[in-house]
Amino acid sequence: MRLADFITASIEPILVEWVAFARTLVPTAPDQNELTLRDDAASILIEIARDMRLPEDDRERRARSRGLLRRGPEIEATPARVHALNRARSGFETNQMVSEFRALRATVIRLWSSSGHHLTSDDLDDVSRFNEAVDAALAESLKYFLAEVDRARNLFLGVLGHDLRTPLATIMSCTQHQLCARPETAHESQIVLRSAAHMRALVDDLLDYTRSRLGVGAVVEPKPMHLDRFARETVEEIIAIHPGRPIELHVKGDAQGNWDASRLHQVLSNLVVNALKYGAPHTPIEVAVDGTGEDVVVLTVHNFGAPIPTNIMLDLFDPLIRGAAPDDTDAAPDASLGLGLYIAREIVSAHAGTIGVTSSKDDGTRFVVRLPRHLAPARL
Amino acid sequence: MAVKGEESMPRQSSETALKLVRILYVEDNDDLRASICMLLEDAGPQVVAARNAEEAIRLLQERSFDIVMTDVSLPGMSGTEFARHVLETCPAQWVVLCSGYEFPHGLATLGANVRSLPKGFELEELDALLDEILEALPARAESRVDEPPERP
Repeated sequence: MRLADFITASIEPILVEWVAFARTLVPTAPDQNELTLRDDAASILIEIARDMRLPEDDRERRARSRGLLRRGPEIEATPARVHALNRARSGFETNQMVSEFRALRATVIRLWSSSGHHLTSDDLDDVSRFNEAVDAALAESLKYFLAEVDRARNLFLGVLGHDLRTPLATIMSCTQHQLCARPETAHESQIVLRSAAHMRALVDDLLDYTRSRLGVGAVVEPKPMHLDRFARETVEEIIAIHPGRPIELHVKGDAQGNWDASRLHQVLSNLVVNALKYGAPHTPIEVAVDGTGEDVVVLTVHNFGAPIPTNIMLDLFDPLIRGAAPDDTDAAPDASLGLGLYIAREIVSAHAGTIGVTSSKDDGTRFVVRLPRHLAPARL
Repeated sequence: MAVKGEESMPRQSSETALKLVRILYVEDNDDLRASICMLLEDAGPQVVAARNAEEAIRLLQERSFDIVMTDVSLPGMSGTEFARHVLETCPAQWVVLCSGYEFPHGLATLGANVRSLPKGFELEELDALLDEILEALPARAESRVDEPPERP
């Protein structure tokens, strides 16, 4: 019997072994999932058999398309996708998913060999097609599985970030009260408030990150503002926390436009703090606002110092990429989750702007943010 | 992230006028509720606090408040539902929604005098909001100051 036919004819015995193996992987999975496991597995087997019977061109096309992750409400509930979601929600891990498919492969071949099948010239072709079909099913399952695990994790992080705001608010407001009611505690109160503000920035970053990972994107509410005044206030704020580091501000042209001040504050703060961290000591940081263009205002942050290594440049705006601190003995605590530039880019994009960077030994590092003066209504 | 108050100056904004302002503050987290009450009172207003929307509604039946300030997520009736309930009877009521999320949308659709304050706000944001509301409130009668504030 050809392998594809054998599979279709032997679904039951194959399933029995496959499900038994799946249960050894996750013994604590509740029993009521058994029916779901069997249904998934049966669908996948039928799909594999069907794949094997297709002419070569169609097979290749299908294999390619199943490797793609489709989004949107029109996604069909393919067996591999349903299987992946069930596994993700049952607490499977990636290696367990892969083991399952390995077991499927072994089970089918073993049962086929011991079924009294006589070797034919088609066998090599059959086994080859079978393996391709299993690989395609695994690739598809894995993609949906990982996407689901990622989504669940981002939801968790979002909830965590949100929940952290309450105790943080308590710390801040209680300490603000203390600062007012007992001025003699000013020194300690300010230390607590700075740390709390730092934590709040981290939580903000965390929430921005999970929101964009969940596909919601940065929320901006543009209002009329002056970028030069805004830049001055932000720079003064940062100077207050980092006294002794020279930060210059250069303004030219008309800096008016419609932007979200608090979101741009995040962007500019991120860039300037980065410049302070990686800039050569005793050299000035320069912030420039150029409003000479008609439609676009350009915000630039420049520092002298060692250039960004080329291998990092490509991934610079990706989350969780951090450069090595220039000075290992630097006592300053690590101030970021590695999300700063990623979020900066999300915010700039939400303003329909662009952010880019150039870095060289002679010229130092320059981040350039181009912001259109006006934007279509805010994204919700 | 500069911290105002480094010069240890007392909070100025229209302190006398603010002393006449009555705030109803709703927050289910005990510590946060206690802290925010202290902070609001530092600025001058008399503050009555409630643990949940249901308690707040009972308090509103006994007397009126210049500002109703509420956390958005409450056990039982939510803060936004509570705000809607209040605004149905009194559309001009000043309401401040405190949210762990940014920018609760559609504030204007709830009422003309609805504002939001993010959780973990800076002191300046609170002061600015109180100043804004104070300016918009009708002139106070002096006799108000003599009413004893009550706490739950």
